[in-house]
Amino acid sequence: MVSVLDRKQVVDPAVAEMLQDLEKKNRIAKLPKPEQNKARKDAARHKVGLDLPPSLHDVLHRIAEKEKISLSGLVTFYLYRGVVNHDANCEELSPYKRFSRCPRFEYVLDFTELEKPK
Amino acid sequence: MTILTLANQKGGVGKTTTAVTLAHGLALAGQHTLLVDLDPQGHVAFALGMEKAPGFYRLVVEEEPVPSVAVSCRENLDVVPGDKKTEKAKRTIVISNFPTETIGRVLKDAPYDVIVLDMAPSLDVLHISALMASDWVLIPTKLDAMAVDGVNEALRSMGEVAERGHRLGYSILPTFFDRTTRETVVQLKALVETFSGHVWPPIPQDTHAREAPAYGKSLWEYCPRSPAVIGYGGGREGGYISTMRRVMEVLSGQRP
Repeated sequence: MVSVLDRKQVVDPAVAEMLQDLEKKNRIAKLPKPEQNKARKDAARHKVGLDLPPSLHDVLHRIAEKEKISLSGLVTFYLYRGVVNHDANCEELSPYKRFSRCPRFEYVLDFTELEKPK
Repeated sequence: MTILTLANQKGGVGKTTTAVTLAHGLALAGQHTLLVDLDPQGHVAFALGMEKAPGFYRLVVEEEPVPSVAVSCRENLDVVPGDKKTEKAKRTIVISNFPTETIGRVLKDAPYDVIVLDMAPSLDVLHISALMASDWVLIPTKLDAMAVDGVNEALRSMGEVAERGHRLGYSILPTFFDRTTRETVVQLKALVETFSGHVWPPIPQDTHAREAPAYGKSLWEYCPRSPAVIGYGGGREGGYISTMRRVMEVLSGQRP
């Protein structure tokens, strides 16, 4: 069922994606020359910055060291697993959703429950 | 039967290329399609490797039925060609009774699934008459200020038609899209901000699209893997394949 709070996609998704790409390229073109190559490589690798709670960062770092793998690889692995779970159970985010005050997003995720030691 | 019209009073924005490509694409998709050339330049026939002919003139002035005027040019695709006599047909329409209903009247019982009307770059009685007969209008536009102004003019004409009680669905198709120039990006953003969901994924600028008419071939025949057809690639939508997908949604009623 579609929630009344679901934001409607007004712009054709393909056009929106294309505009995002063009804006990204435009942003890169405005950077100083030496930074452009790095930014292009990062864009091609889909490098993203995440706001991680420090405690989670520590745990991930510890696991990565123990398993002798990169932090990036470990996070990507967990993301894959999360995505598979999400496809199987779309409601799994619901218990953590809280209304957001930010105009860009309708919800924020509250990790308090997950941060409690089990 | 659904009537799709290609309109923009600005010339050189890709109306005929789009009309020919979509009409042949629809025919290839199994839709029995008629393409009508309303432009006295008669370039529809030229683009499909046929002779220009006074097909539209015969339809309107000599009142011949569509089946005797339409020329079969590909499987599932017939064409009512145009030539400079279309200009005379226009003068006849002006002095006729109910001029704005002429095109709807002459095409009323045409035995086709889809009729595609390729309009001339002008704003006259033929234009209004075609809009009155149409179910959906596709407005191709280059991404420059003058062509985008042409979009506004086309929408004003549609407003005029709406005042006569005929509401039309429409979409805007950016053509000659060159992702490397800043002006293209600025104009695309402006179009999307103004017309949001009415803007369809653009058709990349592609020399093949200029070459195909010289060989009398549609893009599906001449270069089916070119950027104008499949977009820029990399999993991104765009090109006439995306346009076709959306037109099929219009025909099946999935697009309001």
